[in-house]
Amino acid sequence: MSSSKSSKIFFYILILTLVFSGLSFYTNYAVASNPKTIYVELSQFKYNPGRIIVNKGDTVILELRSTDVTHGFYIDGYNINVEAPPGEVVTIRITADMVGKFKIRCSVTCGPLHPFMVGDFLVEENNVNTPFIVSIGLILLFGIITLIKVMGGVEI
Amino acid sequence: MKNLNRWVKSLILHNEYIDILRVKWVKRVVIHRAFQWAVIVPNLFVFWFLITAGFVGSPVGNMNISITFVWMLWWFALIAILVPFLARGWCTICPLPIFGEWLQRKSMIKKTNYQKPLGLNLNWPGRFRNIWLQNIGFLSLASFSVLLVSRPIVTSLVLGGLFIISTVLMLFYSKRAFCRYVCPVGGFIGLFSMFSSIELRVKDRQLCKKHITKECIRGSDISYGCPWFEYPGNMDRNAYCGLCFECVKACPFDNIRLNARGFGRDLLVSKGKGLDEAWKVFIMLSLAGVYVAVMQGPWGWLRDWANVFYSPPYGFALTGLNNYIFYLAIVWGLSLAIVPALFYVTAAISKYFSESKHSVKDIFTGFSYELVPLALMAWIAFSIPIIQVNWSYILNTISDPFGWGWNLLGTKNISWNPIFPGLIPYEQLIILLIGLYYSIKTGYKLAAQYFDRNVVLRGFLPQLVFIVIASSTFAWLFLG
Amino acid sequence: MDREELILTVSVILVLILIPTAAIYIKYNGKTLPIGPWKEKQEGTVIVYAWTQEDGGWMPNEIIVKKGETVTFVIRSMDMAHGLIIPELNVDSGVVKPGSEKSIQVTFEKPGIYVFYCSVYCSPLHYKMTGKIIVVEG
Ligand SMILES: [Cu+2]
Ligand SMILES: [Cu+2]
Repeated sequence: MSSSKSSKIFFYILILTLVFSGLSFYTNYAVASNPKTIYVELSQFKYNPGRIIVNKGDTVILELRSTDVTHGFYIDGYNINVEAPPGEVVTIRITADMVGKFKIRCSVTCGPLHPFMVGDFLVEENNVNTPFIVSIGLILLFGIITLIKVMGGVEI
Repeated sequence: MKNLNRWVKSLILHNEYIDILRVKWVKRVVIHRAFQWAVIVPNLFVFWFLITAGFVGSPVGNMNISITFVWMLWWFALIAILVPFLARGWCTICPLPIFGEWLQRKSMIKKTNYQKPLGLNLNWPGRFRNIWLQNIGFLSLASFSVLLVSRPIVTSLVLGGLFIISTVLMLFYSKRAFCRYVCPVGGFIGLFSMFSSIELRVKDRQLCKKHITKECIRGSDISYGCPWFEYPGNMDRNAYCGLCFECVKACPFDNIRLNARGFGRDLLVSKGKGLDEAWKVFIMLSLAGVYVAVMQGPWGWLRDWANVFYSPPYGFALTGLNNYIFYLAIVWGLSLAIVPALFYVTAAISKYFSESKHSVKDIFTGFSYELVPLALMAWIAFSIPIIQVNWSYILNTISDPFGWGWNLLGTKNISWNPIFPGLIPYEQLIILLIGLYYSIKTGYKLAAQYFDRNVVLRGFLPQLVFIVIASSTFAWLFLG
Repeated sequence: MDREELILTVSVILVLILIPTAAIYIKYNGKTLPIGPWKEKQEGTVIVYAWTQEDGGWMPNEIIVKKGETVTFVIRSMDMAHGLIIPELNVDSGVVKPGSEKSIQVTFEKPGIYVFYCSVYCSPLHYKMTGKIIVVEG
C-alpha cells in the first residue's frame, strides 16, 4: 500500500471520529414521561453517587444536598449550572437527550481540590454506552489499518 | 502554503530532515553567547514571582497565580507543545539550574577562561549514571501530586527546593549533572523528547571522528562545550541533549545541524536503551492512568485517599494515613511492578512466538519504547481539559496574581465557563488514536529489528495486543 | 569579571530581591498603598474580608463606629462562599460567592457591642468565624 493512500485512510478515520462524535451530540430523542428522582450528596471534592447513569430520553430529577460548604453542579454539554448551598435542597430536572459521558463539575470554589471535584453523568442507549463501544471499535479498526500500513512500508 | 504542505509530508512520510540552522537568523541567534541568558532570565523572573506568590498569596489554588501558571499553563505548554515539537526545548529556557551554572562558570554570559570552575567539579558517581534517581524523584513528587497541584505553598516549596538542590549539587558535581541525572522533570522530558519532531545532530560523523581537539566536548574560546556530558559526534537520540547550543558555538567546522523531522525516530535506536528508561516508560504510562482516575474520575474516595494531608479548608493535618498507604501502593505498585510485569509476560510471549535468539529481558527493554507515543498522548489527553475547562482561572489570576482582590487588567471577574466541554472525551479519543498509530508503527519497526524476517508479525502480535489493551483502558477512562 | 557582566549580574540580583520584597511589603503594609489587599474604599465604607477561620476569619474582626453613623460594609469573600449576619440588628448580607463582594448599609442607633457571624457553613471552624462591631458615643 502506498504511503500517501494509507495516510488518506488515516485522515478519513479522524474525520469519521469527528462526525460520529458530532452525531452523538445533536440527535434529539423522544422524552420519556417517567421522571425518576436521584439523590446526590455533595461534599468536599466528591459527588455521591459519583456516576449517574441514565438512558437516553429519560427525564431525571436530581435532588442535590451539600453536606459541608457551597458546591456547584455543572454538567458538560448540558448547559446546567446550579449552586447547592449547605442546608438547602436544590432540585433540577434533566432530560437526557445526548448520549455519552459528560463530566459533572463543581462550579463554585469550595477548597483546595475544587478543580478536581468531578463526577460522571453517563447517558446510555438502551443500557449501552454507545460512544465507548464505538471507540473500542475504532481503536481496533485503526490499529489494524495502521498495522497493514506499516507492514507495507517497512524494509526488513 | 503548498510548499509547506509538501515540506510537512516529506518530513513525516519520507524520513527527510530539514536543517533549521540553515535559516541564517536562527543560527545567528543561537550561536550568540547571550542567547541562553536572554531566554532564561525573563523565565527566571517569572518563576521567582510565581514562587513568591505561592508563599504570600491566597492559599486557594485557583486564585493564586503560582498554581494556575505552573500547573495549568506551564504544564499544558510543556506536555502538549514543548515536548512533542521541541524536544528538550524546555531545558533551553529552564531557570532552575541557572544559579549553579552561573556560579560554576563565574559568569552569566561570557566564556571565562579560568583554569578551574567554581565548586568542587566532581565527577558524577558512576553508580548513578542512569535515570533511576529521576524515576524515584518523579514517583515521590507524584505521591503527593494532589497536594502539589492544589496548594500554592507546596508548589512554591517544591520549586524553591529544586532551585536549592540544583545549585548545591552543581557546586559539588561538574556541569549539568543535576539536569541529566537528578531533575525529576528532566527524566520524562528526555524520554518523551525521543518522540519529538526536532533533533540536534552532526552533519558528517567522519569529520567528527577525525577531528582531534573536539571543542564540542572540551569547549573553546567562545564555548563551554557540552554541559550535558554528550558527544554530538555519536549522538543518536534526543534523550540527554539539553539544546543549549554550546556545541553549535564550539564546532569549528559548522558541523552541527538542528533537524525538523518526523515523530518518534529515536525510539528505534537501540544504542543507549536501558532498564532505567524502560521503567520510566512504565511510570509515565501508569501515572497517566492514575492521574486521570484521581483528578478527573468520579471516584471521590480515591481523591480522599490521595489527599492525605487535608484538614479543611487549607491546613495540612495528616488524616487518613491508612488510606494514603493504599494510594501509595497503587502509584508505586502499578508503575514499578504491575505494568512492567504485564509487559514482561508480553515480551516472553513475543519471544515464544518468534523463537527469537534475544533474551526476554532484551525484548522487554527494547520494546518498552513502543509505549512512549501512547504514554505521551495519554498525558496530553489528560492535560487537555485543564485548559479547556479552567482557562478562566488563568485569566483571573493574571489580574489578581495573589488573590488579594486586585483587578489589574480587568480580567479578574471573567466567569468560569468551559469551552465546548462536551467535546473533551472525543478530543481525548482522537489524541489517543494518534498515540496508538505511532506506538504500533514503532513497535512493528522494532519487531523488524529484533525478529527474523518471516516471524516479524507473529512476534509483534503480543505487543499489538498490549498496545490495544492499554489504549482501550484509556478509552474507558475517557469515555466509559 | 568585566564591567558589562558585573552590571548585568547586579541588576539580575536586584530584580530577584525586589520581587519578593515588594510582594511582602504590599502584603503587610497594603493599607497605606492604593493597591494592597486591605485597601479601604472611602469614608463611611468598611471593607470586610472573609477568609475561612483557619486562614484568619474576618479581617478586620473588630470594627469601631460612631453612634448614629450609617456604615457601608463591603463583604468580600476571599476563598469560599461566606455571608455576614448581625442577628441583633436583623442584618443579613446573604451568600457572598468566592471572589465576589456584596455591600450592606447599617445604621447604628444604640451604643454597644454587636457580634457578627458568618452565615454560610464554610469550614469545620465556621462557628468560630465571628467578629464584633463596637459602637461608641459620638
Ligand atoms: Cu465543590
Ligand atoms: Cu464563612
